[in-house]
Amino acid sequence: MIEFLALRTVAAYRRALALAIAAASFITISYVGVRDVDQTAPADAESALSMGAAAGIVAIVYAAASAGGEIARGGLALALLGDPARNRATALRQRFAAYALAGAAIGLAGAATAALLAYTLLALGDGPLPPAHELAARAAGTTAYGALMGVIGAALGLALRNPATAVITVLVTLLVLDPLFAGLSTEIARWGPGGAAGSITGSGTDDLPPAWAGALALIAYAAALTATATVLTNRRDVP
Amino acid sequence: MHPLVVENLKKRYGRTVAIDGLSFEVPSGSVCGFLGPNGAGKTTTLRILLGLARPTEGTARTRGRVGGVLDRDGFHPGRTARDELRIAAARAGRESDADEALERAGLTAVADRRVGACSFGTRRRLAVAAALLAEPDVLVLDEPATGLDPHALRRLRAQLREIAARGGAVLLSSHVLEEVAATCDRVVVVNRGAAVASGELEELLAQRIRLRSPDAPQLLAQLRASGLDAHADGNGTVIVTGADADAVGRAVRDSGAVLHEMSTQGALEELYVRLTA
Repeated sequence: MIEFLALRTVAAYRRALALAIAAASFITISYVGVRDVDQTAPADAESALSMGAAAGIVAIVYAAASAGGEIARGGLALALLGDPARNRATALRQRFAAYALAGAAIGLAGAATAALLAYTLLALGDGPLPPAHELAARAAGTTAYGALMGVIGAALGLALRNPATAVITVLVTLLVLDPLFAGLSTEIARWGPGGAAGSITGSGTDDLPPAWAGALALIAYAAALTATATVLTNRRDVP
Repeated sequence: MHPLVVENLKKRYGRTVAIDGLSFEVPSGSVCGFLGPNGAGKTTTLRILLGLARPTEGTARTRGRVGGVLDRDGFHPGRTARDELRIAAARAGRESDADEALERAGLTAVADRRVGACSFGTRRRLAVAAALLAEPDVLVLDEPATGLDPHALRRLRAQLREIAARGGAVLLSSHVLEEVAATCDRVVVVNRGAAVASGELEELLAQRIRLRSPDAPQLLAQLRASGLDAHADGNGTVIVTGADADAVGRAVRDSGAVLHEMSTQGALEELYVRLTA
């Protein structure tokens, strides 16, 4: 919890939350619209609850920049000096947990914003209101997605040890490589980062795996990256 | 076993040899200066001692709780000084001590200022305060005096002496030789990754005693007659090398010369320059 509290003392965390809310607001309003809302299909109304998934991108970029920045400026060394056990693996686990919490908070902020706006716009426009179990499932999925993206971003930042490199890696992977390969292979489209995100948040198409399978795929990515970051940090000198 | 022991330490970065068979120890109750020119391997040695770098060969061992202040403090520029100390206190398991540490370091006035807006000296004091929060048995500091004003220097010196007085050990690297002479009771001088001198500061400094007298020729003659290695060093000054203060004092008495000064001032610089040339 100490490292999560440390993240919360910095403005970047609050900015990430604000950005997640802004992104979720923009996408939800664009998706639901303000005219002819009564024509909205029930399935589309339910999908509107998943528009907070944009917060996942905010969470991964925030975590990559913040974790990469911490290690680059000597923050990990400072943390190790303050810890009587001085155990690198423990310090990294604490960071992954902190970024999971931060990512979950960012995801929850996105999910809550999307839900609030979707219900408000649909109610005001006499559109169909999604059932409560859909809201719960999609909010939980988006929150879990935010948490996993936080861990993945932190692992990349700690492994690459440079915030700019980590953020560029994230953006190129998510916005260029994943869509490119997803267009070439159905399996990558289903199980790649984008497909897994669509599954867990309910924002993807019907041919995606179930939410639990998407969550497992993202957990596997997170596990592989955290293991890589831990091995590299144990092997290398801490800057 | 001494609280800080370095044995045959070697560190290579590719083909570059940063440390080449360095060995020394710091006993309990000591404040030890770690001297050497830029690139001599001081910072690398300190980082290995703090567990942040792995040695290529050899060992660097510490006993008890270890604290450290590095050349880069690692603070987040957007975090306040108070928050940095609170986090440091929480990591050290001493949550309640942060405000007290701020006060002890004389940082209460800047407690709510962002670290990025603090002066270098203030950041240095904050780093020392964070390191002292854990009440370390062994404290390792890299250039702690840089940027500190005389008040802060005096406070730092007292804090280091306090650690030594309760049986701890302090190792500090510095280029400010007067500060080392005023703070430390031992020194280790390194050059090109290896120790070229180490031991009690008093013993090392006693190898060069400076005398000032209006009767310098008379004094010089008597010192030489007593078998001491003495030479004139400008206007009314005589330097004696390789002798202890007792022998020099007796020779001065026998000479009957009026003495204005007898000190080891400049001796550390002389020693440092000679050993690291």
